[in-house]
Amino acid sequence: MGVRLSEIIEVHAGGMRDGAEFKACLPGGASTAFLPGEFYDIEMDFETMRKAGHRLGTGAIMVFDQKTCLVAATLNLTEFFARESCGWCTPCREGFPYMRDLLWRIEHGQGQEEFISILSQMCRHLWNSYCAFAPGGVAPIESLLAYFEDEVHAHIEKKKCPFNDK
Amino acid sequence: MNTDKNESPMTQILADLKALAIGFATTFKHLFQKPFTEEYPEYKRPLPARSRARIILTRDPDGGERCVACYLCSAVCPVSCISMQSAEQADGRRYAPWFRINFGRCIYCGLCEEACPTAAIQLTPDFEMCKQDILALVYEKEDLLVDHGGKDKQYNFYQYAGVVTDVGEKGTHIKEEKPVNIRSNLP
Amino acid sequence: MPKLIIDNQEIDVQPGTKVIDAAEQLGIMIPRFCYHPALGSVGACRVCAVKFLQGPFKGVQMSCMIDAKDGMVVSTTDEEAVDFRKYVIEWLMLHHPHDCPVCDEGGHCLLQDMTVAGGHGLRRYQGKKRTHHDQHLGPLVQHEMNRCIQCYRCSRFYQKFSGYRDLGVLQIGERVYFGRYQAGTLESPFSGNLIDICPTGVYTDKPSRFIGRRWDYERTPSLCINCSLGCHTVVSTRYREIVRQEARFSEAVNGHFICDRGRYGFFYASQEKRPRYAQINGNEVSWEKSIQTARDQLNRISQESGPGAVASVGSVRSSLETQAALSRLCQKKGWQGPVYWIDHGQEMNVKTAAAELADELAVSLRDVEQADYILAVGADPVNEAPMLVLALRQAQRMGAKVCFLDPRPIGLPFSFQHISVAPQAMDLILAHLLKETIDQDTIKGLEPHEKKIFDAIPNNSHLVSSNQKLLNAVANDIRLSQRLVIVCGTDVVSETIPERAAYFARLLAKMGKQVGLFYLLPGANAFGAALLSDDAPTFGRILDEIEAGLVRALVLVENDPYGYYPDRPRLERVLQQLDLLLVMDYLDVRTIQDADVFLPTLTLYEAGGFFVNQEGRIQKASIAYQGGHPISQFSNGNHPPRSFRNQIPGKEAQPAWQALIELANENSATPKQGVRADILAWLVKTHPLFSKLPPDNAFPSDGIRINPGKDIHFRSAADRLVVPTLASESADQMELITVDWTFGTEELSTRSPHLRKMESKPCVFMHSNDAAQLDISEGDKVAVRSDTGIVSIHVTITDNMAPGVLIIPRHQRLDWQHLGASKITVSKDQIRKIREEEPC
Ligand code: SF4
Ligand code: SF4
Ligand code: SF4
Ligand code: SF4
Ligand code: SF4
Ligand code: FES
Repeated sequence: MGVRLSEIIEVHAGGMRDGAEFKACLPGGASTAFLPGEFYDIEMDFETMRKAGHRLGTGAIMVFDQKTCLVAATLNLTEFFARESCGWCTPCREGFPYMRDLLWRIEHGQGQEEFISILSQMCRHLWNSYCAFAPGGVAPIESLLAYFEDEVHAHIEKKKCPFNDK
Repeated sequence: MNTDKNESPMTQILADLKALAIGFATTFKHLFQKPFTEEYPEYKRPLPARSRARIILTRDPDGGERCVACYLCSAVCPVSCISMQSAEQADGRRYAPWFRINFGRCIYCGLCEEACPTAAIQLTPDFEMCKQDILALVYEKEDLLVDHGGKDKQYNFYQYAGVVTDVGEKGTHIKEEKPVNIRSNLP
Repeated sequence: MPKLIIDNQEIDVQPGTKVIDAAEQLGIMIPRFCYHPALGSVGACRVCAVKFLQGPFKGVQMSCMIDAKDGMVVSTTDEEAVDFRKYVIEWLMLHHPHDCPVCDEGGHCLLQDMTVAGGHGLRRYQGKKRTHHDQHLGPLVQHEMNRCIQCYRCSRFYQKFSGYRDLGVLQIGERVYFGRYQAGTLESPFSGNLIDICPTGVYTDKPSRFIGRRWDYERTPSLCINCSLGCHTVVSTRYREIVRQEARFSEAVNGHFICDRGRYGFFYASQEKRPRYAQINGNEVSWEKSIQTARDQLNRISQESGPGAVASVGSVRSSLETQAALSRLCQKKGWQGPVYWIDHGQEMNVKTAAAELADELAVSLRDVEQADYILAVGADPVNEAPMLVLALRQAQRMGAKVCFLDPRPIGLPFSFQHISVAPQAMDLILAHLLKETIDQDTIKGLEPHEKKIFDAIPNNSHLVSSNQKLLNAVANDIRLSQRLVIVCGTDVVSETIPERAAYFARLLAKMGKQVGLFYLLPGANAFGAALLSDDAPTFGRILDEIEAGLVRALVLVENDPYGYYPDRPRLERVLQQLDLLLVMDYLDVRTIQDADVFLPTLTLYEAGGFFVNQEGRIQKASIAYQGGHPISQFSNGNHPPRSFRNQIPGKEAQPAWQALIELANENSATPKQGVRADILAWLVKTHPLFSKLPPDNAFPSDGIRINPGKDIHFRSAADRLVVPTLASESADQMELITVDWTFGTEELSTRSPHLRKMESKPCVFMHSNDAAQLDISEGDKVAVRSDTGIVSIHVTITDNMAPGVLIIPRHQRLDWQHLGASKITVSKDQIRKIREEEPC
């Protein structure tokens, strides 16, 4: 508790791989928001995280370097939530597959500008789901749009994933 | 009576005669000109494809009857001149065993065509359907059904609707995934 | 009373009212899919979102989940809420198959309405649609899973509300599926309600599949007359034919639902075989001619042999108007009748029930739901009065215990106690249960005549001792409960039971309990018949008199003795002896072949009318259509004929009461208007019980209850309860009873081609001990020989019925009428195993 994120990565996890730069991390599993670079030194305890608008979640940290496409990472996470929804309430059951479809299209060069506003509206609306699964599940998408919107735009403008040269 | 009280009766008569003369002169002149009107039964002017007259029931590109007897046209018809009965065919299609339009009442408004979700009912430019016997204006399905697609050659409702018919099983229609396997948990 | 503000309007509501209902009371219809008043709130669909501006909740919340509270300020039009609801609709439409034109729900589809209302006109989602295979769910319900919006109403109704388990949810996430594990006919006799509650077209009505649209139907409030409960329905009519019947909400009777027997039981009205023309000796004649002939002949016979030589038989399926007209006719002419009861036992049971149903004891189906203990005596709800099952289930869900005292293999979709005793022993057991239950103080306080009944209960017999433990437990449960209902059947029970049940109820009331009494009767208007049959003889007695030559003319009014009389050979023989048989009916009954004069009558859909259900509630059915050949039959499926005529073809039939009044008058000039009002006026004047009958236009939708008390005439002594009959126990004697089944026995619903597909094969139920003794195994065919004939039938062996009893359904496709009586005793050597192909 209270250990800095940088310390966890550099000391306890053995540091970034050669050539890899810290870009973002999921501080606490799939249902927490991305922590971008500016939080690299944040103290990993409940209080500090909460003040920064983040959550410690399960505490399972997942780090992404500058070569990783966060749209692809979010797509992967959303895929998971779409499959794991229990199917009880509409926003979660239908919203995740919808957002998965939009993210897939963005990642594969079929994105359109209005997808971004649909995504952000849906993220907000998924907070009105029956249980806490959906609000957790939208955290990566919300933070993708909050901190890495440029990356999303780049996908849409280039009509392909900028991290994928093929 | 002329309203101008100051004119003398003579001036008035002259003016009237002048008007008459102009009228006759115009008529006379036109006797030697090519007429604007067309001789109707002898010459039939081609009408735009979208003019609204006699109604037909069309078929989809595969030759199947388009009408699914959904009752939307009869519901929308402002004069209630369409009646029908719906039923199920052996291949799963919904269809109309009988379909009747009373052209004695139809006002050719085209609302039925607009309402039709399958492009089955269409108005055609053929307006020549006067009959002495009013009952002869009541058309049955065999009188309405044609063997082409009318103005829309392509559309086939059953390629879009997710129901099982001879056109397709579940999951084979346009933009459909394969049906969910409810006994498997694998993605 | 919470006071809240919704969309700037203030309203006071009952505590516990959901915000969605509070809004509805203000006329604001908040969208809903998963919420249903009978199934409760679950918050699954999220389409009822509104914004809470002030009060204990804040922000966008589900209005179906939140109880109205003081100080709440709610906006249904708030931008955020509207946008959220719009998204919900879009989500629900992602995978929609877009097949409204071929969907039978179209026109009354909640999803259609909400999609249009929510403004979701164009599709944005570019992905592919999820699809599902459909299942065959039997002959009544069509399945089309692609249209599902996952509101969970069906599984909640099917499992939670009704207790059946074979349909429910499978899978998770966007793959959830509503259906059975394996395709097959739904087991619940309430499956048709899925059609009503599913807000989309997943479950649609199979019998009326692809026939028409709701907007083309004439929808009329009606009643179900397929059992004595009298559930409220609404019938949809088109082209001179009932197309569909659905549940109509009734606070007191059936709530939101009806059973499948009722829902699909109306097809008799448009049967192709339905007799539509008057006949004399089998030849079609005009209505007037028939009336004239019948009148002349009846007058002649009455002059020659006295009015007692004419007997009339009324029907428990006739309207109150018809029953009254018949009573009036008999009174005027001095004829015998109206006869309603097969034998003395049935008469006693029904009349006792009607007489004992005092105002303070009578309860409605809805009241049954509130009970915390239910004792059912000689009642088999699924088979005799299906909707009672749902009422019992609601009580049981709330913690009530349910106990049955019955010889039959009672099947219910929830747990209950069952004391299975032979019919003859039931009264004894019931009396003992009573003795165990009632406390000393109450006994001391009894009036002398009541005390006498109590004291006459004999002491232990081996029958009681073998059930002692169970009886003790039940008695204990009853003593611990507060709100009791005693359900009592009138079919298989012996003549003392309806009265003993009432006696039990009265004593329990004396013990300070809230007690209800709920009888089941043998027909939709059996109660009316009990009120109007006075001292008329039974049908069996009339047959005796015909045989003796005392009765020469018989008038059968919507009554088919071939359907119920248990001695077919005798009936055939006796009817031949008549000088005149006058038959009036709307069914293709067999007596038409024997009739000298036949008059076609109208069904309740065509004539309307009052019916009195088993709790003494007069209810009204309106006229749905005018009758006549349905267009579909008239045109053989092709387009209707292209000719004009000013007569509806096949519309000669008249209401039975009209025929009866025309018979009563001396000439044919009876007007067709105002006759019904006349009859009702006569009824109000003659029978003070009906003085409360409100005029047609002010008739309350839940009807009015009349509880006659002791106004009913009895022919036997009042204190017959003194000695309960003790079953004569003999090892090789078996009691044989005939019983009702949900499908296959009731005369109207068996004429439905769709319900015929639901019928099980007739069989005789036998306890496994008896079967072992007789060396019979499941599925064997046996011949049961009685004094009058032989019935050959397959055997079903079960353990949850009384030993020493044979149970045979009065199945329309079984010649059970060869047994000679509806309850007989057979010795075991009268039951013989036969080979499958062997004729009987
Ligand atoms: S054109 Fe108009 S009036 Fe004629 S059938 Fe169509 S809707 Fe009816
Ligand atoms: S609207 Fe079209 S498909 Fe529907 S009944 Fe009319 S013609 Fe047929
Ligand atoms: S369920 Fe409703 S919206 Fe869906 S196809 Fe049927 S009518 Fe249309
Ligand atoms: S099948 Fe109908 S009732 Fe059942 S969940 Fe789907 S939409 Fe709701
Ligand atoms: S319970 Fe009886 S009255 Fe009610 S719907 Fe069923 S058959 Fe009809
Ligand atoms: S109606 Fe309230 S959540 Fe479905």
